[in-house]
Amino acid sequence: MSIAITELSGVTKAALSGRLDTASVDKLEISFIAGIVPKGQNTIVDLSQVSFIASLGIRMLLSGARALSRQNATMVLYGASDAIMDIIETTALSAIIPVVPGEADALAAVAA
Amino acid sequence: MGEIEQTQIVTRARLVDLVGGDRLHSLELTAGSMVERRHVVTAMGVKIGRSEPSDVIIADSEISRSHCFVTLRGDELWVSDLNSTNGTFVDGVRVTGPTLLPVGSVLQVGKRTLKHEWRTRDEFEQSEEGDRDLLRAASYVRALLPAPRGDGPIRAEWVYQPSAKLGGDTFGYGQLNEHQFVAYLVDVAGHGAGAALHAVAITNQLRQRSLPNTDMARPELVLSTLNELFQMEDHDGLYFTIWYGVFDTRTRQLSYASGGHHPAYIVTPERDGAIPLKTRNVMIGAMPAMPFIQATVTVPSSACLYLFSDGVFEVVDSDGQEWGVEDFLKHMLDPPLPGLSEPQRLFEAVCRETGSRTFDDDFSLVAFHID
Repeated sequence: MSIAITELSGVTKAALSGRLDTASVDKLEISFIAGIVPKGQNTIVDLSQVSFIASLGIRMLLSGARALSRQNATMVLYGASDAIMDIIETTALSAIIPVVPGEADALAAVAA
Repeated sequence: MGEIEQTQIVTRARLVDLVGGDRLHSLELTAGSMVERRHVVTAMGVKIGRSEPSDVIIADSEISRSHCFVTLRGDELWVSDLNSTNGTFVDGVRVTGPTLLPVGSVLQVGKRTLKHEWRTRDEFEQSEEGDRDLLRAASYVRALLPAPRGDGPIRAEWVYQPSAKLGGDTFGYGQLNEHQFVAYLVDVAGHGAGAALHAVAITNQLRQRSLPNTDMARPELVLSTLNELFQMEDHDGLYFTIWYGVFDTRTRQLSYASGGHHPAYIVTPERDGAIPLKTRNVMIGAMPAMPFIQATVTVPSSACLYLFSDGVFEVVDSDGQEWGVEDFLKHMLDPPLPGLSEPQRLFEAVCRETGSRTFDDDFSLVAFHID
């Protein structure tokens, strides 16, 4: 599991890859939260290279979204595979964090 | 004065000997910062693999059935790879022959790591005390589970098999009133005593059948109230998923709501399909003031309702394939086996398919036979 955080014209981009399981979330969560929340700006999260999300992975995304929301910033997820969309739909995570198909959609969503 | 100095030296030497001789080599399977399991390595050595007959069984699709062997030679640990598919690594270096595993080094197999620790018995016992606390927590959760129901128009059987690191599963059922029967299953995100304690707090609310200002016969209201009571920011970042249903024996109507949880399933006696029961609601505690919905289904005669946690199907089979719920449903539709309860039959099927009787997450499964 790895994370790459970059900047796209005033938007934070976090690209996750691998399995977001219990063990990897323990290692990754601090980097994820510390990489996006202090910036306090709209954030898009690339899930295209994520193969699995456990409940703690959902919690990590939720924590980030809620912390950004308190700073009037938005998080949008994109690039989820069918398997990841199944998990997102089972948990109804998309009712809290918008999920869109691609990066351009994500940038448009946070700009709206 | 000289005699005193000599005595002190001897005493120190004996202390060192005592400490040294009292130490145990252990391999500690970690999950992030948590130690999930400890395995003492004795002169017999330990085989690590994905399934029996390995001594240390780790459910990971990248671990071979017999992956590597760790032996104690003198006072050192050595590891040999057993022609595993993905290799064995010591501190990131692939093992190509018998390789020393120094104290403090990290053994990597598949996606999992085991650290070599050399602990005194006191240290080990302190660590074991933490494990015993988890066992006590699991025992407490188990004590709160309802007894199986062998009589009456609604019979219930279950299997609850907590994982080594203890998840946050719990469930309950019983009469809400003369005509209504309630059933629920809760799965707190995370592991350890914290998740288990949270599950206990939730189930204690539900067992009393008395959430504030809430009609317990209306699942959407129950989930809504739980969502306000258990917001994750007020509960150490913990949220949970739930399935909650109320069956009316007069109308055979089952009202239900799931919050972030996969479906429960109804299977008819013909066993020609499983009817999923799910509503699209968010996890409980994820966000305040969320709307919740419920749905209703008529339960056919002599049907079976299966309610379970994701630990039942989020497993890796002995071929290294990661399961989804569909893989589990195939087994659910198999015919019952004489002498085995439905939950036990399914537990045995999952054990057989995974080659393991221990899992990464709690295995909780309740089956209701409804006349």
